[in-house]
Amino acid sequence: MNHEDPRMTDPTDHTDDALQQRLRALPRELAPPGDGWARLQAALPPRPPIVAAPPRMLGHGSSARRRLRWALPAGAALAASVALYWVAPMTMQLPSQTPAAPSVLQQQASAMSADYQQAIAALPRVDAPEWRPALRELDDSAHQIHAALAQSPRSRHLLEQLQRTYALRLELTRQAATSTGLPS
Amino acid sequence: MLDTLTPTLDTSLPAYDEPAVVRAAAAGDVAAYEQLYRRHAPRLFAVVWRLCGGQRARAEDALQEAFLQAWKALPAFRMDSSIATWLHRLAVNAALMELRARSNQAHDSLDDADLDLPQMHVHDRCAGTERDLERVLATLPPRARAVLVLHDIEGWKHSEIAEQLQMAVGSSKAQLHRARGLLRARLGDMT
Repeated sequence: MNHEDPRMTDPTDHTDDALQQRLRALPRELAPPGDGWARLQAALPPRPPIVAAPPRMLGHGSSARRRLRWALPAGAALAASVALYWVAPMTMQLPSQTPAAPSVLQQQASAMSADYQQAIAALPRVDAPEWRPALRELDDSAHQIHAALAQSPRSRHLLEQLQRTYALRLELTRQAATSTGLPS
Repeated sequence: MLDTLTPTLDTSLPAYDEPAVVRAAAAGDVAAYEQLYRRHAPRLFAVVWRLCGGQRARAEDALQEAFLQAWKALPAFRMDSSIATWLHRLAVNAALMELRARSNQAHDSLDDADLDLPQMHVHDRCAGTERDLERVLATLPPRARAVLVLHDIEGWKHSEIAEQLQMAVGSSKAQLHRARGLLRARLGDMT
């Protein structure tokens, strides 16, 4: 018969708490490299300002409003370019894989796409010519990310990029609707 | 290397409006981005340094990569999220990518790759100190170390770790158990 003290059957139990306390007490911050910002700044790709706020405060017919109506699609086009800039190199580097069944990430991407389709369907249709290039570019980005996911079905980075692209597409659609006087 | 692991909270930093800084950085304001970097880099560097097994050069690369990615992705950042949490995720991901990239040169996975970490013998000197704990932590296999760092130090849930490391929740729990066991054994069971 085994008359051992239950605690002795797993002597690690009572030490886990102490160990975790020590781990939690470790410093939460560490001095980054002294030249870290300088190196980072030198590596930052140029990114001209992107206009993100819809022109809510401007009256009809003002020159400022007219300027913003052009600035917003320009910013949107730039944002779409950023999305493509992220995806294009990735699709070129991805190894070719043909998974037998959709991965968890692909299933998440499909669910995300379904949610996006519902959300975009709830927004007013935007037909303003100045917005079309940016919106089309974002749609192309989403297609490219889906294609990349098919090649690299375990890439969480791609899933996150898809989420960002959809978020940006929704936001720009709202901005376009606002700028063209449609309710969002 | 370990001597640099000291709290760096700079209380002299002026109060600042983080949402405004984030919006400015997202719009391309480099000075605003520098504020974000200086505010968050110490916290992020601690986690990538531990994930990279205390290897400073790798941790520096991961930190830079995280902030480069953040700069590119900021225009799409949702302002209703926490920038600290978002940056933290980017940093963890960058560190894991760094580990995968290096381990793929000689291994197929992170599982049991001890990489080029030096063997450390800490049982007989300064046992029980914070420095020992950091040293032994750095000797753990990368995947077990990542789970332990994220769970026991950073407070992540197993489900979050499993998602980030692309493993089952049960595997995350098993890796944590393994990591703690190795940690205890290498510390000489002094906890």
